[in-house]
Amino acid sequence: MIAPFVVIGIIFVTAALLWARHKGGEVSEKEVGSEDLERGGGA
Amino acid sequence: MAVIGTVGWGFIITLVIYFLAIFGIGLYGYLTTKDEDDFLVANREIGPAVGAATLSATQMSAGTFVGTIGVHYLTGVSFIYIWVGLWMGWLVSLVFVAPQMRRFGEITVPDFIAVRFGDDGAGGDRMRAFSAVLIVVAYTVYISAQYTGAGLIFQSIFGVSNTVGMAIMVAIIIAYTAFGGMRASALSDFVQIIIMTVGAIIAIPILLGNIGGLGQMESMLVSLNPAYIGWAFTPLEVGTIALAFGFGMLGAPYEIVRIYSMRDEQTVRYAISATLIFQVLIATGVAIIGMSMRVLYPQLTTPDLASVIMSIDVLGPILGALVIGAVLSAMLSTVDSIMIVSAGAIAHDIYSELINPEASEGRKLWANRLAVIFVGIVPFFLALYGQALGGLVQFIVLLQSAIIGATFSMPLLLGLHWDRINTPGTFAGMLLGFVSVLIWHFSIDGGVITGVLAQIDPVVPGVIMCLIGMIVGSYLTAEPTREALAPFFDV
Repeated sequence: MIAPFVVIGIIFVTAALLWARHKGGEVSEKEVGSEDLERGGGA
Repeated sequence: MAVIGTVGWGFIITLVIYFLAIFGIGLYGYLTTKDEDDFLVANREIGPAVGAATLSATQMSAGTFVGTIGVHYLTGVSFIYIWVGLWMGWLVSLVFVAPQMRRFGEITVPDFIAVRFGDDGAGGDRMRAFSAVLIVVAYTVYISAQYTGAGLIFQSIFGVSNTVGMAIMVAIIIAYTAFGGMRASALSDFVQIIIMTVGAIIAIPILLGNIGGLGQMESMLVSLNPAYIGWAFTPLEVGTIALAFGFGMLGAPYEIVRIYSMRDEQTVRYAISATLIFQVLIATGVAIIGMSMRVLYPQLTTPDLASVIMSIDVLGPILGALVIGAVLSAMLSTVDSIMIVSAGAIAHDIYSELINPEASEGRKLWANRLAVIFVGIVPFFLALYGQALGGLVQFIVLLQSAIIGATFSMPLLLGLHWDRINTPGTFAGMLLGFVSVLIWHFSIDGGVITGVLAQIDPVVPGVIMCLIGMIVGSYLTAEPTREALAPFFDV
């Protein structure tokens, strides 16, 4: 009775957290990239 | 009332401790608030945990712990799926609206409207005034419904009159919001959402223990009415209510101002993700409470009082006070958020931006505090004497979510992502959305719209007409100016 609802809820929470993590990763990569550029590029 | 005079000292002391904690937070907010930015967006220092808490607590109102429990009591499980619409609104906001609004980084939603749709021939002032007035009217009147709910609860528990109950609520909420501003509001939301979550969850094992378990509850519900564990509401009805909540949440100015108060875009993303966790827990708890109360007390004459009766009759003094604390928390946290938004529309958008742009920071801060007191007191009188306005108050209360959803969700969403959308189109869309909500509502009331169509919430035609108005109006008139687009697009 309640179980399908809880499963849907967990799917939404997971999707939201994965999106937040994905976007956070993008931001970090950009920041690392700009630091590299400031240093003259390279790893 | 069935429960007057039955609470003991343990119950009262627990509630008093709760209110003292809220006052303490208000005092802390007062001592740390220095200017308007501090008052309205807490200096943008809200982190993900408090951010998630304040988004959840703001969304959940008296409707959740009083009305929704009552609906589950009356109709069983199917109403729970309206939450899915809310979460879809949150997901769209997570991807397309909230982080972008935080990046824009102003103070109020009319700030956004005035900048993005600033080529109105008055530097955005007309669009700012239009949206600010819409917010003040819809939200301030809506507060009166929360006061009415609080009055009913105080009356039921303590036996005081409805008016005295409402006055206590008004005094408490004005005291900590007018002085503590957004910082006090967000921190008290943090305490309040924890109480709401614990209250909703802790009641479950006690109620199910009294019934004999979840399976026993199901079979007893079936014996009362098989539809209680099926679709007492049709999927279309649930779907359209869910859409209404989703659109309402997507553009809700009282949530956006909380987004503005967070540290950065990533904080916003994590806060929205975490708010969904609170919501899954509370939605599940509230549904089980409503249905358990139906099994334990099948003949309640006022289903809206199911949570109050459970607190006093089933849970005992301490846990009972905790759940009543949760109910009052839901009201307080919603009202304090609405007060901040309405006060911001009056003090920041109308006073500081339109009437007295040269006002000092100290004057702006006190304008906000006075505006909070104003938007806190007016609904008290509306709740007492609203009938004199011929049903206007009840009408706005009923339709405020649809009005806000139909007028703000699309301008925010499209304004942030479509550079062809311009000011005349958006004004036409907002106006069309607003009028469509009214026409749809009155057509259902008057029997002009019937059958399946009558099950559709006014927000759906409202949003569709707003969308049409924005697109058609924008393409029939000139492209937006570079100045209006520059803060949001590469132009």
